[in-house]
Amino acid sequence: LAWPGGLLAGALLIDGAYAHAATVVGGQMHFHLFWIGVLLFTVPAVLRLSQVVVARAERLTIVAAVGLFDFLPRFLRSPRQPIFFDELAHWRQANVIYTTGRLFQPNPTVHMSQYFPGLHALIASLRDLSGLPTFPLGLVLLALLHVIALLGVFVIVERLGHSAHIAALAAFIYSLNPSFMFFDSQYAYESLAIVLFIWVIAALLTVHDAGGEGAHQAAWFAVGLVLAGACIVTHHLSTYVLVVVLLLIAVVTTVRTVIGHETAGTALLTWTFALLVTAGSAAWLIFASGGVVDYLVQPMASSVAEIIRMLHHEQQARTLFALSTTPQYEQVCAFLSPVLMAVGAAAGLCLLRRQRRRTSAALALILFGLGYFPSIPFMLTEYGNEGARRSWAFTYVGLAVLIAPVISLLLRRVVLWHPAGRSAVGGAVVALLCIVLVGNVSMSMNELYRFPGPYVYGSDTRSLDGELMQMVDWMRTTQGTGQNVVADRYSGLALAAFGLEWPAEVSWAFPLWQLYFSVHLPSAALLQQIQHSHYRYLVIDKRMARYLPRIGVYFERGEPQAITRTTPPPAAALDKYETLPWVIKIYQSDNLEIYRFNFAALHVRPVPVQAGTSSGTGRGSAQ
Amino acid sequence: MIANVAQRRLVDVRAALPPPARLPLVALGVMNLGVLMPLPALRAALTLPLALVVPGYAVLTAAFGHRPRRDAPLTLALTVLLSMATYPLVALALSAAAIPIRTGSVIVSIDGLVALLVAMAVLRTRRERRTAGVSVVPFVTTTGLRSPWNGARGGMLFAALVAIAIAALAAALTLWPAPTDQPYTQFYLAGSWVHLSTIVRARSHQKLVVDVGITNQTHRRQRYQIVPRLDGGPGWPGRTVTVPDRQSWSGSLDGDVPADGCVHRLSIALRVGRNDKALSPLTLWVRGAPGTVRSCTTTSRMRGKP
Repeated sequence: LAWPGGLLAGALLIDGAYAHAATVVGGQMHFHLFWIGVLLFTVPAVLRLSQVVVARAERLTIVAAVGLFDFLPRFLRSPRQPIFFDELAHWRQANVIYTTGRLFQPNPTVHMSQYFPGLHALIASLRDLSGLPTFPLGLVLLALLHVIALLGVFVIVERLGHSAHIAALAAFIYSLNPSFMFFDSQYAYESLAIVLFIWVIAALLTVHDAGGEGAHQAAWFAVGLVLAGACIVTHHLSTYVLVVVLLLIAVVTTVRTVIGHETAGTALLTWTFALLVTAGSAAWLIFASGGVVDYLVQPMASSVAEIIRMLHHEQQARTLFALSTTPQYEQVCAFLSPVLMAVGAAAGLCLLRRQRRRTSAALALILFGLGYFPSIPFMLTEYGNEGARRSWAFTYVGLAVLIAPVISLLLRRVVLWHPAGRSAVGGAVVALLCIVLVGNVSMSMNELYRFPGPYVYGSDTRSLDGELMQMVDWMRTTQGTGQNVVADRYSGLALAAFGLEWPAEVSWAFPLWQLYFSVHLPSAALLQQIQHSHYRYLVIDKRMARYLPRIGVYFERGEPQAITRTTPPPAAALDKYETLPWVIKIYQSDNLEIYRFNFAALHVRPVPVQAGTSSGTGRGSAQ
Repeated sequence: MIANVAQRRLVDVRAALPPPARLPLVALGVMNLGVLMPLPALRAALTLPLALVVPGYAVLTAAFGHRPRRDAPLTLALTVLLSMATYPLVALALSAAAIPIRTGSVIVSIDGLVALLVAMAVLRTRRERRTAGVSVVPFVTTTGLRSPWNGARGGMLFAALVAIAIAALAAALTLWPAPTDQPYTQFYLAGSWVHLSTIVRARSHQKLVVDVGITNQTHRRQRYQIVPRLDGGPGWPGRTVTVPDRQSWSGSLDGDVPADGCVHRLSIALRVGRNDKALSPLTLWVRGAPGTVRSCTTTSRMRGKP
């Protein structure tokens, strides 16, 4: 009863950690409570999985429980509404598709979501059938997907010829990947696509495994294609990584066919499957999602350029855990995690050399999993760190395949040497896996994403306070949806998601930051651009002049002094609109203002404004 | 006679449709009826589980044929994932046919797809019988160790564990103190003024009446003082109102605008409570009715038409 009891106790303690974080400001007690809660379940669960004589059904149950348990932190972070950046974009997208009944609707926050409507179509269809609102429905699906993902890894490892013991350990190792607890638990397209990715590989491996059984192979071939089709229309990165993995499996299978370790039929089936999926994704890329290449290649190219500049000592590396509020032990674990994975991978490779039965798919997956290590240096780059973290959700499949047999072998061997040693080795293995878990969670998300708490300007998640939400509600109720709005990143995010407005996309070609950063009037060219683009509202958050944004930007990475800014813009830059006749202030709260543009009055010169009537007296609530 | 024919046809249909083929069709029928449920909770409880199982089960049946599936957890996981994969593909097909995704179109398309897949499964089974082929199962399990987690009992145990955890969490959530937002006040133009987009033209010899609103989000009853001010014009009387917490008030302010043809700024400030804390003012622009020429800037007369 250790792990079921741990599940209940751990869930309650994590709940307590979230309640503490939401109500008590400062300190690190919520971190400690959180990890005690996680370990209350994880330790007995892994200890049970490590035991050799455990029923397969119980292993599967523990794996399913791990999937559900790992979804709990995301659920408790915000059980009633989406708050993460991607969530807000996809939530809006699903709502718009549900309302209009049409796919491929443009999205102001994540443009690519327009071309990959898989998740939104699924939600819209299920909303139509069940009548549930988008967000609760999304939570139900995400919890299920979390379980299905780990069961998929279990199937992959079993199909590679391993025991249920190793398969369950591999599923647990996969659950340690940095994206699993938070990033792939959020309401976003990757959370669905990654599960499809895993099961497409499982389908292909079953096709391999069922060599000679035509009906079985054909059935899994068809099932794999259905899943791959859904993946193609759901998420770009998952699809392209899937194509790479499938082609890798096909190449390794071909090489092993030439050597005589595989049959020609298996190689032919593998190539057919891989090429069909490749053709499908290429067709989708060409006919439905042309802009995705730039979207993916640009950050990759920038991060490679950053690495090259670092190697030439022309640029300093990004400081890891800069401004981090996470406890010291989390940061230590984060640095230890790749080292432990490297040790595990090295041991796995040694074991692989001794194994007699090696399958083509296992070799290809391991090769793919080793891609984790070259991606680590990208954590030091500004443009590549996010991509590196996101790639680990994929490469951990290969790492799980490589490392799980090592743990199993270690536990079996120790029993042969000394029966009492198994507990010690089991404990050590659990401790190491827990270090990886703590480190990976810490390096994937900062405190602001992980825990609720007081308002923090410029943090995406903690910027969504009641004042902003009520402003959005007022705007939607009185001005309607679909309005073109000029706003900073944080107000714009809420306006787009909850108000269904259309915030302006800021860039050097459309430098709207002029409106906020300068005490002088914006250039005539910019005003003309705003007028001709039919922007009707200007939203100002006065906290902009008091705080630096937590994530370093007021609008986007290309803005002047992004990341490097040391003082906020002057308050006068935001107050100037109170004396300009071409804007009308229609809404005011302690910190937020809505102006309406009246470009017809651009050249009006009013009666001089009397001293003491502009906003010097306005005081907002303290952060 | 007619009854006999009907009965015979029913028997024929039942013979043509083996129980595994009838199961998804019955579930589909229940799901379709569930959509019509008037109670939202009942509708969701009845429809969602079936919607997440039926299409995937139909795909599995068409692909693997009719066979008892012994590895229930993995088969169920694959079934649910296949259902999730089916909806986007069906939605794409609808989109390609320029049919909007609505309750009716989703139901009809899913019904059609499931019926098609079941028909494929039936045909497949008949052909296999003729060719003495055998259906296959997606997951083959070997006989394992005895455990309370095996079989249906294990599934029930797991479901009970999850249900207890959810109940405990739900109970705990009500016990923790709720976090409170920072207090704030919303102050805005109200009535038809909410759509104001131009300079307001004042009429001669008529007071200008402006509608404003206040919403109190300060977590306590609050006294507000509204202070209007027209630059270069006569004083406007203010108002004092008291608004309970989480309540709104709306009312109007009025005052004179000089008949000078000039554009004046009307700023309406809001003082909150007794400590004289003030919000930045709402600002709107008013043009006085044409009249006595004063020394206001002349361009406003020529080019300031809203």
